[in-house]
Amino acid sequence: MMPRGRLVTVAKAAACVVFAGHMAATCTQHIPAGSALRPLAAPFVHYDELTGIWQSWNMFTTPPYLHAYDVDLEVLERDGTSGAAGPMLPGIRRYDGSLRAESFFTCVVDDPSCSAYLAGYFDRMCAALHTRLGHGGQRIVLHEVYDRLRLLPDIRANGVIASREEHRSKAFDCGG
Amino acid sequence: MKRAFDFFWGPADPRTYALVRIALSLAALANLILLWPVRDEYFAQGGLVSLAAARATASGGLCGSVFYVVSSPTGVTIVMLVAAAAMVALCAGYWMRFSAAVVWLWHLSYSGRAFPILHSWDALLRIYSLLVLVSPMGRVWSVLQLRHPRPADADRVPVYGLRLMQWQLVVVYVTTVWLKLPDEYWRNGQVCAYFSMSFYSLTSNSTFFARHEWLSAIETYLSLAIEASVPWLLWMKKTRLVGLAAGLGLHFAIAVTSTLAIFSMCMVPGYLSFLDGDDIDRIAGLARARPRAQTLVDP
Repeated sequence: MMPRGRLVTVAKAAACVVFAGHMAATCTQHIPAGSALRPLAAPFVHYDELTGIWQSWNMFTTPPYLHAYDVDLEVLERDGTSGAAGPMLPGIRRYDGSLRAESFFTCVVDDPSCSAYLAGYFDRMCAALHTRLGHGGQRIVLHEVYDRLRLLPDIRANGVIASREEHRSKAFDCGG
Repeated sequence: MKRAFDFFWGPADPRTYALVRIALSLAALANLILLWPVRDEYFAQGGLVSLAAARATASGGLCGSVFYVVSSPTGVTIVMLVAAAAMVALCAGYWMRFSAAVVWLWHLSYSGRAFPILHSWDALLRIYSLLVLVSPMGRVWSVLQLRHPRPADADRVPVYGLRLMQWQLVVVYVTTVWLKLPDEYWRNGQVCAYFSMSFYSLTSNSTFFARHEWLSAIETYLSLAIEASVPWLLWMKKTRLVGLAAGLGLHFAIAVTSTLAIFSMCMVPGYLSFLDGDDIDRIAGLARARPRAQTLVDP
Protein backbone atom coordinates (compact mmCIF):
# COMPACT_ATOMS: atom_id res chain seq x y z
CA MET A 1 0.00 0.00 0.00
CA MET A 2 1.21 3.48 -0.90
CA PRO A 3 2.14 5.72 2.07
CA ARG A 4 -0.22 8.69 2.60
CA GLY A 5 2.43 11.30 1.75
CA ARG A 6 3.13 9.60 -1.57
CA LEU A 7 -0.58 9.42 -2.34
CA VAL A 8 -0.94 13.15 -1.71
CA THR A 9 1.99 13.88 -4.03
CA VAL A 10 0.49 11.73 -6.77
CA ALA A 11 -2.90 13.43 -6.33
CA LYS A 12 -1.30 16.86 -6.49
CA ALA A 13 0.64 15.89 -9.62
CA ALA A 14 -2.60 14.69 -11.22
CA ALA A 15 -4.21 17.99 -10.26
CA CYS A 16 -1.34 19.82 -11.99
CA VAL A 17 -2.29 18.00 -15.19
CA VAL A 18 -5.92 19.10 -14.75
CA PHE A 19 -4.86 22.71 -14.11
CA ALA A 20 -2.65 22.69 -17.21
CA GLY A 21 -5.57 21.23 -19.17
CA HIS A 22 -7.83 24.02 -17.90
CA MET A 23 -5.30 26.62 -19.01
CA ALA A 24 -5.08 24.98 -22.43
CA ALA A 25 -8.89 24.94 -22.67
CA THR A 26 -8.99 28.65 -21.81
CA CYS A 27 -6.42 29.39 -24.48
CA THR A 28 -7.20 27.11 -27.42
CA GLN A 29 -10.80 28.32 -27.87
CA HIS A 30 -9.35 31.65 -29.09
CA ILE A 31 -7.40 30.12 -31.95
CA PRO A 32 -8.98 31.52 -35.15
CA ALA A 33 -11.29 29.13 -36.99
CA GLY A 34 -9.14 29.22 -40.12
CA SER A 35 -5.92 28.36 -38.32
CA ALA A 36 -4.24 25.00 -38.83
CA LEU A 37 -3.98 24.83 -35.03
CA ARG A 38 -7.73 25.20 -34.47
CA PRO A 39 -8.23 21.40 -34.03
CA LEU A 40 -6.35 21.79 -30.74
CA ALA A 41 -9.54 23.33 -29.32
CA ALA A 42 -11.76 20.34 -30.17
CA PRO A 43 -10.88 18.11 -27.18
CA PHE A 44 -11.89 20.88 -24.79
CA VAL A 45 -15.28 21.84 -26.24
CA HIS A 46 -17.36 19.77 -23.81
CA TYR A 47 -15.18 20.80 -20.88
CA ASP A 48 -15.78 24.46 -21.83
CA GLU A 49 -19.53 23.87 -21.96
CA LEU A 50 -19.74 21.89 -18.75
CA THR A 51 -17.70 24.33 -16.68
CA GLY A 52 -19.02 27.47 -18.38
CA ILE A 53 -15.59 28.77 -19.40
CA TRP A 54 -16.62 29.34 -23.02
CA GLN A 55 -15.65 32.88 -23.84
CA SER A 56 -14.93 35.47 -26.49
CA TRP A 57 -13.13 38.76 -25.93
CA ASN A 58 -14.07 40.56 -29.12
CA MET A 59 -15.50 43.56 -27.27
CA PHE A 60 -14.95 46.76 -29.22
CA THR A 61 -12.51 45.17 -31.62
CA THR A 62 -14.08 47.63 -34.07
CA PRO A 63 -15.48 51.04 -33.06
CA PRO A 64 -19.18 51.17 -32.18
CA TYR A 65 -21.27 52.05 -35.22
CA LEU A 66 -24.48 53.33 -33.65
CA HIS A 67 -25.30 56.63 -32.01
CA ALA A 68 -28.81 55.50 -31.14
CA TYR A 69 -30.93 52.40 -31.56
CA ASP A 70 -34.66 51.86 -31.39
CA VAL A 71 -37.00 49.08 -32.39
CA ASP A 72 -40.74 48.62 -32.58
CA LEU A 73 -43.15 46.04 -33.91
CA GLU A 74 -45.18 46.68 -37.04
CA VAL A 75 -48.52 44.89 -36.97
CA LEU A 76 -50.53 44.43 -40.14
CA GLU A 77 -54.08 43.15 -39.68
CA ARG A 78 -55.89 40.98 -42.24
CA ASP A 79 -58.22 43.84 -43.13
CA GLY A 80 -55.23 45.94 -44.21
CA THR A 81 -55.09 48.20 -41.17
CA SER A 82 -51.68 48.55 -39.58
CA GLY A 83 -50.09 49.94 -36.46
CA ALA A 84 -47.03 49.86 -34.27
CA ALA A 85 -46.64 48.09 -30.95
CA GLY A 86 -43.93 47.76 -28.34
CA PRO A 87 -41.61 44.81 -28.97
CA MET A 88 -40.92 43.88 -25.35
CA LEU A 89 -42.43 40.76 -23.79
CA PRO A 90 -44.25 40.07 -21.60
CA GLY A 91 -46.77 42.84 -21.92
CA ILE A 92 -46.06 44.15 -25.48
CA ARG A 93 -44.20 47.11 -23.96
CA ARG A 94 -42.00 49.76 -25.56
CA TYR A 95 -38.32 49.02 -26.18
CA ASP A 96 -36.57 49.84 -22.90
CA GLY A 97 -33.28 51.09 -24.40
CA SER A 98 -31.15 48.75 -22.27
CA LEU A 99 -27.96 47.09 -23.51
CA ARG A 100 -29.49 43.65 -22.91
CA ALA A 101 -32.56 44.41 -25.03
CA GLU A 102 -30.44 45.98 -27.77
CA SER A 103 -28.29 42.84 -27.81
CA PHE A 104 -31.38 40.66 -28.07
CA PHE A 105 -33.01 42.53 -30.94
CA THR A 106 -29.84 43.05 -32.98
CA CYS A 107 -29.08 39.36 -32.52
CA VAL A 108 -32.48 38.09 -33.62
CA VAL A 109 -32.93 40.55 -36.48
CA ASP A 110 -29.41 40.80 -37.87
CA ASP A 111 -27.56 37.61 -36.93
CA PRO A 112 -28.51 34.39 -38.76
CA SER A 113 -27.22 32.31 -35.83
CA CYS A 114 -30.12 33.72 -33.75
CA SER A 115 -32.85 32.69 -36.21
CA ALA A 116 -34.28 30.12 -33.78
CA TYR A 117 -34.70 32.88 -31.20
CA LEU A 118 -36.47 35.08 -33.77
CA ALA A 119 -38.97 32.33 -34.58
CA GLY A 120 -39.58 31.72 -30.88
CA TYR A 121 -40.00 35.45 -30.25
CA PHE A 122 -42.55 35.80 -33.04
CA ASP A 123 -44.52 32.81 -31.73
CA ARG A 124 -44.74 34.41 -28.31
CA MET A 125 -45.57 37.83 -29.71
CA CYS A 126 -48.39 36.33 -31.77
CA ALA A 127 -49.78 34.67 -28.65
CA ALA A 128 -49.53 37.94 -26.74
CA LEU A 129 -51.29 39.86 -29.55
CA HIS A 130 -54.03 37.23 -29.67
CA THR A 131 -54.58 37.59 -25.93
CA ARG A 132 -54.66 41.37 -26.09
CA LEU A 133 -56.68 41.83 -29.28
CA GLY A 134 -58.88 38.77 -29.04
CA HIS A 135 -57.95 37.55 -32.50
CA GLY A 136 -54.97 36.31 -34.49
CA GLY A 137 -54.02 36.47 -38.14
CA GLN A 138 -51.66 39.44 -37.94
CA ARG A 139 -48.51 39.82 -39.99
CA ILE A 140 -45.69 41.18 -37.82
CA VAL A 141 -42.29 42.67 -38.55
CA LEU A 142 -39.57 43.99 -36.25
CA HIS A 143 -38.68 47.50 -37.38
CA GLU A 144 -35.27 48.77 -36.34
CA VAL A 145 -34.36 52.43 -36.49
CA TYR A 146 -30.77 53.34 -35.94
CA ASP A 147 -28.67 56.45 -36.07
CA ARG A 148 -25.43 55.29 -37.66
CA LEU A 149 -22.33 57.30 -36.74
CA ARG A 150 -20.93 59.34 -39.62
CA LEU A 151 -17.20 59.57 -40.36
CA LEU A 152 -15.28 62.06 -38.21
CA PRO A 153 -14.50 64.52 -41.06
CA ASP A 154 -18.23 64.62 -41.91
CA ILE A 155 -19.17 65.22 -38.27
CA ARG A 156 -16.65 68.04 -38.04
CA ALA A 157 -17.99 69.57 -41.26
CA ASN A 158 -21.52 70.22 -40.03
CA GLY A 159 -21.83 68.85 -36.48
CA VAL A 160 -24.32 66.15 -37.47
CA ILE A 161 -23.28 63.01 -35.57
CA ALA A 162 -25.31 60.31 -37.27
CA SER A 163 -27.55 59.47 -40.16
CA ARG A 164 -30.85 57.65 -39.78
CA GLU A 165 -31.26 54.13 -41.17
CA GLU A 166 -34.14 51.71 -40.98
CA HIS A 167 -34.14 47.97 -41.21
CA ARG A 168 -36.89 45.39 -41.03
CA SER A 169 -36.83 41.73 -40.11
CA LYS A 170 -38.52 39.19 -42.32
CA ALA A 171 -42.28 39.20 -41.86
CA PHE A 172 -44.02 36.57 -39.77
CA ASP A 173 -47.61 35.39 -40.20
CA CYS A 174 -49.37 34.78 -36.91
CA GLY A 175 -51.94 32.47 -38.51
CA GLY A 176 -55.38 31.58 -37.10
CA MET B 1 9.15 19.19 -12.68
CA LYS B 2 9.44 20.65 -9.20
CA ARG B 3 9.01 24.16 -10.63
CA ALA B 4 5.80 23.13 -12.37
CA PHE B 5 4.62 21.54 -9.12
CA ASP B 6 5.42 24.70 -7.13
CA PHE B 7 3.77 26.89 -9.78
CA PHE B 8 0.44 25.40 -8.74
CA TRP B 9 1.07 24.14 -5.20
CA GLY B 10 3.34 26.86 -3.84
CA PRO B 11 2.11 28.95 -0.90
CA ALA B 12 -0.26 31.92 -1.25
CA ASP B 13 -1.64 34.47 1.15
CA PRO B 14 -5.26 33.53 2.00
CA ARG B 15 -6.16 37.24 1.99
CA THR B 16 -5.78 37.28 -1.81
CA TYR B 17 -8.44 34.59 -2.13
CA ALA B 18 -10.63 36.54 0.27
CA LEU B 19 -10.24 39.72 -1.79
CA VAL B 20 -11.18 37.92 -5.00
CA ARG B 21 -14.14 36.23 -3.29
CA ILE B 22 -15.50 39.52 -1.96
CA ALA B 23 -14.95 41.42 -5.23
CA LEU B 24 -16.57 38.65 -7.25
CA SER B 25 -19.58 38.49 -4.92
CA LEU B 26 -20.15 42.23 -5.15
CA ALA B 27 -19.81 42.26 -8.95
CA ALA B 28 -22.17 39.27 -9.25
CA LEU B 29 -24.68 40.94 -6.94
CA ALA B 30 -24.53 44.20 -8.93
CA ASN B 31 -25.16 42.24 -12.13
CA LEU B 32 -28.06 40.36 -10.56
CA ILE B 33 -29.59 43.64 -9.34
CA LEU B 34 -29.44 44.95 -12.92
CA LEU B 35 -31.13 41.78 -14.19
CA TRP B 36 -33.79 41.74 -11.48
CA PRO B 37 -36.29 44.17 -13.13
CA VAL B 38 -36.04 42.31 -16.45
CA ARG B 39 -36.07 38.73 -15.14
CA ASP B 40 -39.43 37.92 -16.76
CA GLU B 41 -38.23 39.28 -20.12
CA TYR B 42 -35.23 36.99 -20.33
CA PHE B 43 -35.69 33.96 -18.08
CA ALA B 44 -39.43 33.28 -17.76
CA GLN B 45 -41.91 31.73 -20.16
CA GLY B 46 -43.79 34.41 -22.06
CA GLY B 47 -40.68 36.61 -22.17
CA LEU B 48 -38.50 37.58 -25.09
CA VAL B 49 -36.26 34.52 -25.13
CA SER B 50 -37.86 31.29 -26.25
CA LEU B 51 -37.03 28.31 -24.05
CA ALA B 52 -37.23 25.97 -27.05
CA ALA B 53 -34.65 28.09 -28.90
CA ALA B 54 -32.38 28.14 -25.84
CA ARG B 55 -32.62 24.35 -25.59
CA ALA B 56 -32.01 23.98 -29.33
CA THR B 57 -28.89 26.14 -29.08
CA ALA B 58 -27.60 24.02 -26.22
CA SER B 59 -28.56 20.67 -27.73
CA GLY B 60 -25.68 18.32 -28.46
CA GLY B 61 -23.55 20.14 -25.92
CA LEU B 62 -23.20 19.98 -22.18
CA CYS B 63 -24.56 23.42 -21.34
CA GLY B 64 -27.07 23.22 -18.52
CA SER B 65 -29.45 25.66 -16.91
CA VAL B 66 -31.78 25.64 -13.94
CA PHE B 67 -34.08 27.72 -16.15
CA TYR B 68 -34.61 24.76 -18.50
CA VAL B 69 -36.82 23.31 -15.77
CA VAL B 70 -37.85 26.45 -13.89
CA SER B 71 -39.68 28.81 -16.24
CA SER B 72 -42.58 30.32 -14.30
CA PRO B 73 -42.20 33.96 -13.20
CA THR B 74 -42.44 32.89 -9.55
CA GLY B 75 -39.86 30.16 -10.04
CA VAL B 76 -37.47 32.58 -11.75
CA THR B 77 -37.92 35.05 -8.88
CA ILE B 78 -37.13 32.35 -6.33
CA VAL B 79 -34.02 31.22 -8.23
CA MET B 80 -32.77 34.80 -8.33
CA LEU B 81 -33.45 35.34 -4.63
CA VAL B 82 -31.51 32.16 -3.79
CA ALA B 83 -28.64 33.32 -6.01
CA ALA B 84 -28.65 36.76 -4.36
CA ALA B 85 -28.58 35.16 -0.90
CA ALA B 86 -25.65 32.97 -1.99
CA MET B 87 -23.75 36.05 -3.21
CA VAL B 88 -24.27 37.82 0.11
CA ALA B 89 -23.18 34.67 1.98
CA LEU B 90 -20.11 34.26 -0.24
CA CYS B 91 -19.15 37.89 0.32
CA ALA B 92 -19.54 37.48 4.08
CA GLY B 93 -17.65 34.19 4.02
CA TYR B 94 -20.54 32.12 5.27
CA TRP B 95 -21.12 28.58 3.94
CA MET B 96 -18.52 29.55 1.40
CA ARG B 97 -18.18 26.40 -0.72
CA PHE B 98 -21.93 25.88 -0.96
CA SER B 99 -22.52 29.57 -1.71
CA ALA B 100 -19.81 29.56 -4.37
CA ALA B 101 -21.45 26.53 -6.01
CA VAL B 102 -24.84 28.29 -6.10
CA VAL B 103 -23.27 31.46 -7.52
CA TRP B 104 -21.53 29.45 -10.25
CA LEU B 105 -24.78 27.57 -11.08
CA TRP B 106 -26.64 30.88 -11.32
CA HIS B 107 -24.14 32.22 -13.84
CA LEU B 108 -24.21 28.98 -15.84
CA SER B 109 -28.01 28.99 -15.76
CA TYR B 110 -28.76 32.47 -16.98
CA SER B 111 -26.02 32.23 -19.61
CA GLY B 112 -27.53 29.02 -20.95
CA ARG B 113 -31.05 30.44 -20.88
CA ALA B 114 -30.57 33.81 -22.54
CA PHE B 115 -27.62 33.51 -24.90
CA PRO B 116 -28.58 36.51 -27.14
CA ILE B 117 -28.34 39.01 -24.27
CA LEU B 118 -24.90 38.00 -23.02
CA HIS B 119 -21.97 40.38 -22.82
CA SER B 120 -18.33 39.95 -21.93
CA TRP B 121 -18.93 40.60 -18.24
CA ASP B 122 -21.27 37.60 -18.07
CA ALA B 123 -18.38 35.40 -19.21
CA LEU B 124 -16.10 36.96 -16.60
CA LEU B 125 -18.60 36.25 -13.84
CA ARG B 126 -19.18 32.68 -15.06
CA ILE B 127 -15.48 31.89 -15.25
CA TYR B 128 -14.35 33.55 -12.04
CA SER B 129 -17.21 32.03 -10.07
CA LEU B 130 -15.98 28.58 -11.20
CA LEU B 131 -12.43 29.45 -10.22
CA VAL B 132 -13.52 30.72 -6.79
CA LEU B 133 -15.51 27.52 -6.33
CA VAL B 134 -12.48 25.28 -6.89
CA SER B 135 -10.03 27.50 -4.99
CA PRO B 136 -8.99 27.24 -1.35
CA MET B 137 -11.47 29.29 0.69
CA GLY B 138 -9.85 29.73 4.08
CA ARG B 139 -11.53 31.72 6.84
CA VAL B 140 -9.79 35.04 6.31
CA TRP B 141 -12.09 38.08 6.21
CA SER B 142 -15.18 36.01 6.86
CA VAL B 143 -17.93 36.04 9.45
CA LEU B 144 -16.49 32.80 10.82
CA GLN B 145 -13.12 34.43 11.46
CA LEU B 146 -14.75 37.48 12.97
CA ARG B 147 -16.72 35.37 15.44
CA HIS B 148 -14.13 32.72 16.21
CA PRO B 149 -10.63 33.81 15.14
CA ARG B 150 -7.96 31.11 15.08
CA PRO B 151 -4.18 31.46 14.70
CA ALA B 152 -4.33 29.03 11.74
CA ASP B 153 -6.57 31.43 9.76
CA ALA B 154 -3.49 33.23 8.40
CA ASP B 155 -1.76 30.01 7.30
CA ARG B 156 -0.61 29.87 3.72
CA VAL B 157 -2.82 28.04 1.20
CA PRO B 158 -2.03 26.54 -2.23
CA VAL B 159 -1.73 29.08 -5.03
CA TYR B 160 -3.33 27.06 -7.86
CA GLY B 161 -6.64 28.95 -7.86
CA LEU B 162 -4.88 32.29 -8.20
CA ARG B 163 -2.71 30.93 -11.02
CA LEU B 164 -5.82 29.96 -12.99
CA MET B 165 -7.40 33.37 -12.36
CA GLN B 166 -4.21 35.15 -13.41
CA TRP B 167 -4.01 33.06 -16.56
CA GLN B 168 -7.60 33.98 -17.40
CA LEU B 169 -6.85 37.69 -17.17
CA VAL B 170 -3.77 37.27 -19.36
CA VAL B 171 -5.89 35.46 -21.96
CA VAL B 172 -8.53 38.23 -21.86
CA TYR B 173 -6.01 40.96 -22.61
CA VAL B 174 -3.80 39.07 -25.07
CA THR B 175 -6.88 38.04 -27.06
CA THR B 176 -8.48 41.45 -27.12
CA VAL B 177 -5.23 43.17 -28.19
CA TRP B 178 -4.72 40.51 -30.85
CA LEU B 179 -8.20 41.24 -32.23
CA LYS B 180 -7.99 45.03 -31.97
CA LEU B 181 -4.58 45.62 -33.49
CA PRO B 182 -5.52 44.86 -37.14
CA ASP B 183 -8.50 47.24 -37.02
CA GLU B 184 -7.88 50.48 -38.92
CA TYR B 185 -9.77 52.64 -36.39
CA TRP B 186 -7.67 51.37 -33.49
CA ARG B 187 -4.59 52.00 -35.60
CA ASN B 188 -5.53 55.55 -36.59
CA GLY B 189 -6.63 56.42 -33.06
CA GLN B 190 -10.27 57.24 -33.84
CA VAL B 191 -11.95 54.56 -31.72
CA CYS B 192 -12.38 56.71 -28.62
CA ALA B 193 -13.96 59.53 -30.66
CA TYR B 194 -16.53 57.11 -32.10
CA PHE B 195 -17.05 55.46 -28.71
CA SER B 196 -17.75 58.85 -27.11
CA MET B 197 -20.63 59.45 -29.56
CA SER B 198 -22.04 55.91 -29.46
CA PHE B 199 -25.00 54.81 -27.38
CA TYR B 200 -22.56 53.25 -24.92
CA SER B 201 -21.35 56.72 -23.95
CA LEU B 202 -22.94 58.85 -21.24
CA THR B 203 -22.21 61.94 -23.37
CA SER B 204 -23.18 60.60 -26.78
CA ASN B 205 -24.34 63.99 -28.07
CA SER B 206 -20.97 65.62 -27.51
CA THR B 207 -18.69 66.01 -30.53
CA PHE B 208 -15.72 67.05 -28.37
CA PHE B 209 -13.48 64.13 -29.36
CA ALA B 210 -14.46 64.42 -33.02
CA ARG B 211 -13.38 68.07 -32.94
CA HIS B 212 -10.19 67.26 -30.98
CA GLU B 213 -9.18 64.07 -32.72
CA TRP B 214 -5.64 64.21 -31.31
CA LEU B 215 -7.12 63.63 -27.84
CA SER B 216 -9.01 60.61 -29.16
CA ALA B 217 -5.74 59.29 -30.64
CA ILE B 218 -3.91 59.65 -27.31
CA GLU B 219 -6.77 58.00 -25.46
CA THR B 220 -7.04 55.15 -28.00
CA TYR B 221 -3.30 54.41 -28.03
CA LEU B 222 -3.07 54.71 -24.25
CA SER B 223 -5.87 52.21 -23.71
CA LEU B 224 -4.25 49.81 -26.20
CA ALA B 225 -0.88 50.23 -24.47
CA ILE B 226 -2.46 49.52 -21.09
CA GLU B 227 -4.31 46.46 -22.37
CA ALA B 228 -1.13 45.14 -24.00
CA SER B 229 1.08 45.72 -20.96
CA VAL B 230 -1.18 45.05 -17.97
CA PRO B 231 -0.76 41.25 -17.85
CA TRP B 232 3.03 41.56 -17.81
CA LEU B 233 3.08 44.50 -15.39
CA LEU B 234 0.85 42.55 -13.01
CA TRP B 235 2.93 39.41 -13.37
CA MET B 236 6.19 41.07 -12.28
CA LYS B 237 6.32 41.96 -8.63
CA LYS B 238 8.26 45.20 -9.17
CA THR B 239 5.68 46.64 -11.55
CA ARG B 240 2.57 45.06 -10.05
CA LEU B 241 1.14 48.12 -8.37
CA VAL B 242 1.80 50.17 -11.52
CA GLY B 243 -0.11 47.55 -13.52
CA LEU B 244 -2.90 47.56 -10.97
CA ALA B 245 -3.18 51.36 -11.07
CA ALA B 246 -3.04 51.49 -14.90
CA GLY B 247 -5.61 48.73 -15.41
CA LEU B 248 -8.02 49.82 -12.72
CA GLY B 249 -7.59 53.42 -13.92
CA LEU B 250 -8.62 52.37 -17.43
CA HIS B 251 -11.66 50.53 -16.10
CA PHE B 252 -12.59 53.39 -13.78
CA ALA B 253 -12.55 55.71 -16.80
CA ILE B 254 -14.78 53.29 -18.73
CA ALA B 255 -17.14 53.05 -15.75
CA VAL B 256 -17.64 56.81 -15.32
CA THR B 257 -17.95 57.69 -19.02
CA SER B 258 -20.11 54.86 -20.34
CA THR B 259 -22.99 52.54 -19.58
CA LEU B 260 -20.48 49.72 -19.01
CA ALA B 261 -19.73 50.25 -15.31
CA ILE B 262 -20.76 46.66 -14.60
CA PHE B 263 -18.08 45.41 -17.01
CA SER B 264 -15.42 47.38 -15.14
CA MET B 265 -16.66 45.97 -11.86
CA CYS B 266 -16.42 42.41 -13.18
CA MET B 267 -12.78 42.93 -14.22
CA VAL B 268 -11.69 43.71 -10.64
CA PRO B 269 -11.49 40.10 -9.28
CA GLY B 270 -9.02 39.18 -12.02
CA TYR B 271 -6.75 42.06 -11.08
CA LEU B 272 -6.89 41.25 -7.37
CA SER B 273 -5.77 37.67 -8.04
CA PHE B 274 -2.27 38.98 -8.84
CA LEU B 275 -1.72 40.51 -5.41
CA ASP B 276 0.48 38.71 -2.89
CA GLY B 277 0.73 39.31 0.84
CA ASP B 278 3.36 42.05 0.46
CA ASP B 279 1.20 43.92 -2.05
CA ILE B 280 -1.80 43.75 0.27
CA ASP B 281 0.33 45.04 3.16
CA ARG B 282 1.67 47.87 0.99
CA ILE B 283 -1.80 48.90 -0.17
CA ALA B 284 -3.12 48.67 3.40
CA GLY B 285 -0.13 50.74 4.55
CA LEU B 286 -0.87 53.40 1.92
CA ALA B 287 -4.51 53.47 2.98
CA ARG B 288 -3.50 53.83 6.65
CA ALA B 289 -0.90 56.50 5.87
CA ARG B 290 -3.35 58.84 4.14
CA PRO B 291 -5.65 59.57 7.11
CA ARG B 292 -2.57 59.98 9.38
CA ALA B 293 -1.08 62.57 6.99
CA GLN B 294 -4.39 64.41 7.03
CA THR B 295 -4.42 64.36 10.83
CA LEU B 296 -0.95 65.95 10.90
CA VAL B 297 -2.02 68.98 8.88
CA ASP B 298 -5.39 69.41 10.55
CA PRO B 299 -5.46 72.18 13.16
